[in-house]
Amino acid sequence: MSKKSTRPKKTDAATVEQEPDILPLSLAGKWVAWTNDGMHIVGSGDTIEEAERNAAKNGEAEPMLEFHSFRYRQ
Amino acid sequence: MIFKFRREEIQPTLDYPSGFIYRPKVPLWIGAEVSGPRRPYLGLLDTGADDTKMSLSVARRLGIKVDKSVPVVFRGLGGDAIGYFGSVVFELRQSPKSWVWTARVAFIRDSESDSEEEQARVTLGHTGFFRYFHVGFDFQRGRAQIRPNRLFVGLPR
Repeated sequence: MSKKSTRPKKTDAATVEQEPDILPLSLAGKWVAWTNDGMHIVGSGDTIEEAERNAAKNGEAEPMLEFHSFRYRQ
Repeated sequence: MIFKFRREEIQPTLDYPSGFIYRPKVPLWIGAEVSGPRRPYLGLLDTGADDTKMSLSVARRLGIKVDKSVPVVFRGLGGDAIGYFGSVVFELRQSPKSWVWTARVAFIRDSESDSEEEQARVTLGHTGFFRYFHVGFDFQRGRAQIRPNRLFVGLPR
């Protein structure tokens, strides 16, 4: 009878379960600024520049920017 | 590296009655030169895309030179679009790992009909991305696992 190892497999456990913030419907149609690791929302705005300014106010000088489209699929 | 799919709230549809959609987007850094600055973008893992593509406005923003002497037509669901190729530096990072590589990517010319969304959209396709990485999509756990293959030629960070 073969012995099965019960040792946990090595994984990137420290990082695997980090889940980014949900991109909420309340920001639909706006530019959204994320922390530069893409995990947390730090600002938003009607334009890229406004989102960047709001991110800077929240301490993120180099945000990751995306437009939240909600009307159609990608 | 393992990246969770990104959860986005959308208007509910018949296929997505919960109003949530999970998209395989990964944070990556893009720059014009190896030793130059890079800026963070979200790249959509699109196995159906022949090329890695982004808007020409991204090239302008990053100071990337594009070869306008050879326009290329890209066909998508929304119709045809003209693009130009240029060379960029990509960095995929997830502490403590970091992979840096150069790639030729297509920059799609902005048109009046473009939505604002197009201005920051980065689509990771066969050339420039999947050619160099093995990517496993796990829709049960909602995550993508990425590792370089033997075609990947990394650069120092």
